[in-house]
Amino acid sequence: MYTDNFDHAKSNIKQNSILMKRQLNKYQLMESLRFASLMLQELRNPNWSPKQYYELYILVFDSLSILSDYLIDNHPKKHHLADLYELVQYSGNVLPRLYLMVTVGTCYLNFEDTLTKQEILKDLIEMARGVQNPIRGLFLRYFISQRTKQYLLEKVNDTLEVTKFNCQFILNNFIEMNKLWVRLQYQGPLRDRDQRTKERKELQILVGSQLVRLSQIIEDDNDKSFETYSKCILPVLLEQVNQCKDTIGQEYLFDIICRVFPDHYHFKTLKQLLNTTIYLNSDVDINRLIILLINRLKDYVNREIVNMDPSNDDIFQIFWQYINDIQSKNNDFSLNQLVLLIQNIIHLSLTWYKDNLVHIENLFQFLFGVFEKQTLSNDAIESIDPLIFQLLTFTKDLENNDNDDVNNMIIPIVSNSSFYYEIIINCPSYTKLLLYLNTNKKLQISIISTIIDQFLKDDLSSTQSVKTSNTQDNSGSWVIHTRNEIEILLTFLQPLIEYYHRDDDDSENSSSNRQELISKLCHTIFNNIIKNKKVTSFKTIEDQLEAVIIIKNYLNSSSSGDNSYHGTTNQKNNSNILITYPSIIAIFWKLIRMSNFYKSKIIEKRDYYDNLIKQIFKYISRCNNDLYDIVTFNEDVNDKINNIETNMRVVDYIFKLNVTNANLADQLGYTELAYDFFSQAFTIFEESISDSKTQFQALNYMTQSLQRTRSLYGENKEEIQGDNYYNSLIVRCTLHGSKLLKKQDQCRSVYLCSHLWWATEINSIGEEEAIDESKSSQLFYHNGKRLLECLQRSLRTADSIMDNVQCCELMVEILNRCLYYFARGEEFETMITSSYVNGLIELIKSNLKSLNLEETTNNLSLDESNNKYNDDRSGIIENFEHVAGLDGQYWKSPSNNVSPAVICQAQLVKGKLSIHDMIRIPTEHFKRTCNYIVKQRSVDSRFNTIIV
Amino acid sequence: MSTRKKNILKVIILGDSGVGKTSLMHRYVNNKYSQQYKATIGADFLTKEVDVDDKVATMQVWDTAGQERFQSLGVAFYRGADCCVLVYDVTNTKSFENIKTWRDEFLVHANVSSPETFPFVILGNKIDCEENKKVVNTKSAQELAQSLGNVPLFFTSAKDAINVDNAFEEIARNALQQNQNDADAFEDDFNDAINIQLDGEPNSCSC
Repeated sequence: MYTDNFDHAKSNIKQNSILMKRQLNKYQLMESLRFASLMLQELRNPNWSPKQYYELYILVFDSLSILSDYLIDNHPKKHHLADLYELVQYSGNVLPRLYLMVTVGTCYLNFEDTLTKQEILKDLIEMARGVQNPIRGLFLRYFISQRTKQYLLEKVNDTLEVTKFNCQFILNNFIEMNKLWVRLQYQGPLRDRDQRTKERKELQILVGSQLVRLSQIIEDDNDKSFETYSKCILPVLLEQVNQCKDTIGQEYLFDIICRVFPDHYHFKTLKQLLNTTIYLNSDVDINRLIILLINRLKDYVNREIVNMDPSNDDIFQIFWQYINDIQSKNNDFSLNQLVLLIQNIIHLSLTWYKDNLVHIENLFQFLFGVFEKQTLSNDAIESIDPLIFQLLTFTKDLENNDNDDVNNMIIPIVSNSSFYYEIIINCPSYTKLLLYLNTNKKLQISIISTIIDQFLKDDLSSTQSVKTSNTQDNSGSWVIHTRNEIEILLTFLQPLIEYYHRDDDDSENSSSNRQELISKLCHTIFNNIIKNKKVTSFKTIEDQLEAVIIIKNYLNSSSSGDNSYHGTTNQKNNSNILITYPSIIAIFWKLIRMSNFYKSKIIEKRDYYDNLIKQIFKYISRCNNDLYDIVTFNEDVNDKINNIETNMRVVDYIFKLNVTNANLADQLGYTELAYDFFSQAFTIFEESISDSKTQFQALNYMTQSLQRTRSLYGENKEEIQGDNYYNSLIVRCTLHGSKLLKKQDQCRSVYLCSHLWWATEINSIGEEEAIDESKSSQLFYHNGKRLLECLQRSLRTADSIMDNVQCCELMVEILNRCLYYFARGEEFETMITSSYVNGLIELIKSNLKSLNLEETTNNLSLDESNNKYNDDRSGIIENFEHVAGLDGQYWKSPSNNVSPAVICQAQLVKGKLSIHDMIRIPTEHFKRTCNYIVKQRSVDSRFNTIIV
Repeated sequence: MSTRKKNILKVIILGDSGVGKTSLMHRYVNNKYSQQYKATIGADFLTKEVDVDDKVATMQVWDTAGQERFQSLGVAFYRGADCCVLVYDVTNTKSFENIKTWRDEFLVHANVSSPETFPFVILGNKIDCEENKKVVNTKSAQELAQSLGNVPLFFTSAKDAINVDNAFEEIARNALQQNQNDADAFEDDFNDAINIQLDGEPNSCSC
């Protein structure tokens, strides 16, 4: 009776449909019904896939629409629908008979009174039970639903009873459809299960359409509609969801319920909906459903937010109750799901109850309780790493974004630094939860780093926006109000502060990188305190100082409690403060400068600020000593510290910190403090700096710094010439220079020390070159006799060097120093006379002569091939000249014709230079010096006395 | 053809999710509007009696789900359409860019007799929105309508009932025209069907 060829089936339907229409045009109803019945035969075939069946169904539906239009138009002139309703029941097969009955019956609905209509509807729905094949049954019932729609949605006789009847009618149809749909899963052989699942997913919209219809019935927004929904519809639907015990069914139905009914109904029936989810099959993705529900509620809240009472947190309370219920009733609920759920509720709460962080605190506390109770193993935490990360950083993983719109409707959260800050300060359980994860340091660190990065980023952008425009962007700004807040913040940072990672190869996780982050944060916190001091409790410098000391103490403290780690943690912290303390010291410097500013402005509080400055210097000194103690005392305990290179670097750094402290103290006029810091620097130099290169550089640093000091030698002539701090320091410095390991270092160090006896003006603090000589000697520390002694000493050392190239180069360098003093001061003052310079030039010339002789001899000894090689090299030398650096290393610098600015591009020469080049260095250097002298003659006639 | 025959005009509304297809249909058929967003599940139609140029017809307006996953049974209902309405949201560039895709998708599945002349109507919905939210400008919409073969273009608002009736009047007129064109081809179609029957297996007339 039906064909198994899909194309034939389609053309049979079309052809019978056309024949039916022809008969209708001729008013031959019986004939047309016969063709309609033939057409319907094709729907009996049980072998079509849902999609194919749907295609045939649409063709049939269109044709039957034409038939029903005819039936309505010609009733009762040419026929009576009641007769027809009887007549079609004699149709041969069940399915065609039922389709025709539905067609005729629904036409009849247009003409009868309510009671008869309801009888017809009841009859139709009863008869439909005759088809129990899932696909055919589903489509037949879908047909009933489509054909009765017009009638059911009519609002003419809109009494409560009618509405209830209509609801009941659709619900009946829905329940039967749902049964058919679920049954499909369990039909046929087991191996076809996947095929069945696919078919069910295709057919699901037929079931869903019934829920759509229900939502259309109660579309009018009034209390009556809601009553119908909450009393007649929802309980039945939820019962179906619950009873079908079918995962696909439960997920789909709950999903559709959320989607098709008005969101304010969900708002009112939230408890019922949530409670249903507790009892769903364990493999139902509850979170997907909850997110969907939350998103639906979100639409509602966004719309109604103006009317909402901010203190009304009903929704949150319902969810709060829900997670408590789930925890107590549903043992299948995995930790994974729980974390996701809590995350979603947090997002919900943050969207609706922005200012109510108590909710967030409660949720974290709840989760913390769960963690603690279950005493999670490390593995358990590791398995939910990404989730915890997202939870605690308030981010969402967008990568898992499939086509599902549920994921697309994620609630966005503004995770800027002020938000994080509020959470950290106001939710103690947040930090508790984070600290609880201490078995998984990596996770802790990545969470904290993410948040710190945000702090730093927002801080940077807010600073920039202040610079570029007057309107400050406050979106990311956060304000530290009290000392207590600092402590909370630092407790949160504790895992990072203590973090110590030996493996420095892993650059992402190396402890120095992490500690650098802390250092940056220290500055950011301090800047924050200064920026907001007017509105916080850090109004005075003393308050700010206390804040810094709190930070410092946290950096140095190890976590309490964990005794087993205590010893090593201490070690770790110790090495971490090597990186973090310098930033604290830098902050102390800032505080000192600020205090000094107030000291100069507020006369009556001079003494107070004076004491404060001295106190801060003491703190700095303490930090310096702590650092120094770590490097010197713990040498054999910690292999990291034992690393000589690191050790050297740190000691050098501490040395420089002390020198900088001394300079600061000197600038502010604290002579004795400056002297102490310099002495401390010398002690470090003597005790711990052992590498000869570092020694040389350290002394250079010291020389520069000392040369810039002002307060150390008093203000009047007697003091300057007498025995003063400055004198003793520079003598000590020069002595150290003269005792360096290498002679060339000695030589250079000492000629540099000569500057210590010839102070010069510092433009940046407003000093000018004194024109008046007598005045100049009062202002600046000048001692020509000692200056000359230095240069003499230096020259002697140079002369005693066996390597004549080096010796010659050093002499040229000393010549340059002499020319400097010659140009700067009068001969009687500097003791550098023209005859002295001339003598030096003569000495260099004779030395160079013997050097050049050596070079020629050298060249003669070369054979042909080497000659060729030499020619090539000379080509290079034209482009690049070699020079000797201050520490005696050889450098390659760009040729003469480039500007001096390019000199900094000089490269260190690796490997040996040829003798030729080495000899060229002093020769060229001397030539340049002579050129300088000749040029200088035009501006300074004294240079005429120097013979080149 | 006798005057008693009433035509059924099948109109399909297509467009991205959330552009307002259901709202437009409700505004036109029931003159109602709801602020709430509800996803459409599958395809469903509403009917309305229309009177175009003194001809009476029943218009079947098929509202469809913009999201593919709610169309799990396929789009067989495109078949037999007399007019296709393409809707975009003037505040959503993507929905505008997809207009052409929806048109192509329709032509592929609807199996219309002559795709070149099949009537489409484009609606730019949500023009009630604030000016600064509108991202699809009038000019590019006009250009698109032009390029798709002088397709009628309307700017509508289901919310404020702007231009909805005008648009559907044009839609009805186009649909009716298409419906009559198809009716003229009715005889050919019929003969085709007979031929297939003659070629087919004899059992189909054994009933």
